[in-house]
Amino acid sequence: MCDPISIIGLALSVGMAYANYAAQEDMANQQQAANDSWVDYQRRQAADFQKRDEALRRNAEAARSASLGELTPEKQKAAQEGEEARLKETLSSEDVANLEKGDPNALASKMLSGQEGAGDYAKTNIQAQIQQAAIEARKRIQALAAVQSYGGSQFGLTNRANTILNASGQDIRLAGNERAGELAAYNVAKAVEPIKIVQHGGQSLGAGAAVGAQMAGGGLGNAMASGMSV
Amino acid sequence: MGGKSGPSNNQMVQFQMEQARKAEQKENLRQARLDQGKGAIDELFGPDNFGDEFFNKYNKASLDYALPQLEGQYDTAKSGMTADLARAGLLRSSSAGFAQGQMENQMAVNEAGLRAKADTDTSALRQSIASQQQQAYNQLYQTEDPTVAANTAANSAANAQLTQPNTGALGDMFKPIVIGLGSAVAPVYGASQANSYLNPRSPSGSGSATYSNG
Repeated sequence: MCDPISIIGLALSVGMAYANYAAQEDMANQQQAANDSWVDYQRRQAADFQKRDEALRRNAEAARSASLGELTPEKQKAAQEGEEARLKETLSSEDVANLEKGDPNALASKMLSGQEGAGDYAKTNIQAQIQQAAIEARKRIQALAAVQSYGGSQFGLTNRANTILNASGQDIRLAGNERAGELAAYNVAKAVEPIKIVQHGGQSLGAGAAVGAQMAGGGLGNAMASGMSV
Repeated sequence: MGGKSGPSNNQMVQFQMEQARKAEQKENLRQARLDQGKGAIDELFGPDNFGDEFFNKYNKASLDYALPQLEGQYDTAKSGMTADLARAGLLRSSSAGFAQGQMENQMAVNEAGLRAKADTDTSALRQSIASQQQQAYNQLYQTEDPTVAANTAANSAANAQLTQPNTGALGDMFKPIVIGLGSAVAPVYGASQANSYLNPRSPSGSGSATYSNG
């Protein structure tokens, strides 16, 4: 027969071990739940980030595509020709345009004082030369307009392209800046670690089981020793 | 007792593998967009659209503006020289040939200068278009990679300004050839000797010519 102390020690050891096991089981469940929760959280964060990032990328892409759409050869050519026509009108005065057309009043206004009394032949000849000069001036102005329309004029080809690219560049930079911010925020979310469940009292339960086992072992040992004694 | 397993990180590993797969897919799509975008830019700014024909048109426009000015001045100078030579009675002389040679020389050099300027201006336009293309590339990379330096676009824009050709009046392109007071052949014979040799003989007779090199 075992002595009561051994029985108590054995019971204590078994009880403590069970309690320890139950605590560990509970801890494992809690850890599993924490892991699951972490995965859910990370999955949500990843999905949200991808959604926002893709929306911002699409904003940038829309700006970029729109600018390239404005820089097609057809649109550039049309813009250059439109600017050339605008400059031709802007650079030459109405007076020169009237002279070019042979407007009698405009031509008469250019006669020198004293020429009014000249004969018709002479007057016609003088006015024809003035008109020819205006025609040639308009040709030169047309040529100047053509050169200017490629670059430095208000709506010239180069200025237009730069304006378009600058505008889209601003939109792309804005989207890029926002994307960088989103990425930084997401990196913080990614750095969140799952909760780590710690078992409180696990050591004392283990120690209790050890003490119980020691008591039971000691009692059993004594009983066996006395049974073996002669 | 027992039977239950411990906590598993299997779901976490699965999630991370899933993320890796998505990242790879995303990168594949990104690279496809980059390839497609670069191809579109290459085509837009390529030789079919901005080739020699386009730049030659600009070169011609530049010359169409400058050369008529030169030709106008040449015609005026030539008319003046012809009248001066006629007044001096030297129209059919070697002096006239010398003066004409000087004028043709100035014409050729001036024309070459204007053509060289037009060529340089065309080169500037080529650089401007190339800069626009570079901006378009930068914007593509910025769109696909927001970490690309944000100031790239601004720098490119600053570099894309076209150097404008000189669209002002040409100014006097021909040095005056003064005829009638000295000798057109003065540089050859020496001014004093030539002038004494070609002094006017009578008020109604043929005069003399003086060549001034400006």
